Amino acid sequence: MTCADVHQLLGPFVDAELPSPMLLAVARHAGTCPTCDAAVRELTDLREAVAGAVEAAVDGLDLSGVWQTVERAIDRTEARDRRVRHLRRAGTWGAIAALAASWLFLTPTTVQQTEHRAPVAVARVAKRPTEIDRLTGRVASFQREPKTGAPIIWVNYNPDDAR
Amino acid sequence: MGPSDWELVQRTREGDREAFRVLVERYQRKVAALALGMLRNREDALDVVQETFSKAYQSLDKFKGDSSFYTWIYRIASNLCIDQQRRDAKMPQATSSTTDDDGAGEDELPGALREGGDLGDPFRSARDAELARGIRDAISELTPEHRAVILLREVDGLSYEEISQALDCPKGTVMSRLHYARRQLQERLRRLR
Repeated sequence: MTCADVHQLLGPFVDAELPSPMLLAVARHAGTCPTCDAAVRELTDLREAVAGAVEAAVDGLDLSGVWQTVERAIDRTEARDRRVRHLRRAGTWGAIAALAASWLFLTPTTVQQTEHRAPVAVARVAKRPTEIDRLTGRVASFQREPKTGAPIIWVNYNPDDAR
Repeated sequence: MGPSDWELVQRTREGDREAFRVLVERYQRKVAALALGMLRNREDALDVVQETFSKAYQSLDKFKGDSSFYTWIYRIASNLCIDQQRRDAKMPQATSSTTDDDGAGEDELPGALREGGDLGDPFRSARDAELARGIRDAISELTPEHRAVILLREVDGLSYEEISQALDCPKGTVMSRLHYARRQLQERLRRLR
C-alpha cells in the first residue's frame, strides 16, 4: 500500500469505516510512514478540536426548560386537534340541521308562494313549535327578512352544544 | 440500563407522555450540539431543539423504526437547521448581531478555552480561545449540507450509514462532503497555527 492509496482512505480509516483487512493495512502503513501518521493525527486532532469547541459551547446552553416548552407545544397541538375534531363533528351536525331546517321551511314557503300570503306562511311555521324550539338557539335558528318576509336560516355551531 | 428508544416510542404512542420526556432528555444535548454547531446562535439553537421534539411528537406515528430513533431525530433537527439558515441567509442583517462572530457570544466559548480559564496560562488560553473561534468560524463558512455532515460525524459520532439516513443522501455523498469539509477546516486550522 502506497502513501497515495492511504491518503484516499484516511477519512474512512479515522472513522473506522473501512473493512478490517483495509483498516489493518492502513494502520500498518501509517505505523511506518511519518507523513501518513502525521496526516492521521491531523484528522484526529481536527475531530477533537471540532467536538471540543461545539460540546463546550453546549455546556453554556440552558437545556433545563426544553421539556416544559415541548410539553406546552404538545398541549397546544392537541387542543387544536380537538377543536378540529369538534368542527368536523359540528359540520355533520350542521348538515343535519340544515336538512331538517330546509324540510321545515320549504313547506311554508311553498304555501306562501301558492297562496301569496305571508302571514299564512308564518302561521304554518308557527304550527310546528316543537321543531322550531328544537332548532332555535341550538344548532339552527331562523329569521324572516323584514321587507320580503323570506325565511333566513342560520345554522350556528357551538362546540359545547355538540357534546 | 433504561428502556430502549423503541420501547419509549411505543409507550408514547399509547399516550404515556413521561416516556416522551425521557426521550427528550436523552437526546436534547446531542440535538443541541448539532443545532449550535449549525446555527451558532443560542436562541435559534434552543428553538430548533424544542421544535425538533415537538415535530417528532406530532410525527411519531410516521416513525416506523426503519432507522434508529436518534437518526430520525437528527434528520428532523438538521432539516430545521438548514431551513433556519436559509431564512437567515435571506435576511443577514437581522441575525448578524446575535451571532458570536462579533465577540458578543464570547460566553459561548468553552470554559477551558476562555481567557483566564482553568489552564492557568493566559497566553495559551487566549490562543486556544482564538483557535476555538477559528474552528467555529470555519464551520460556519461551510455550506449547511457540509456543516451538517461534519457535525454529525465529529460531534455526534454517527456512522456514514446513519448520516446518510439522517440527511437522506447516499453514503458516497456523505463521504465526499466529509472529505471536503475536513479539508476546508484543516486549511483554516493550519492558517491559525
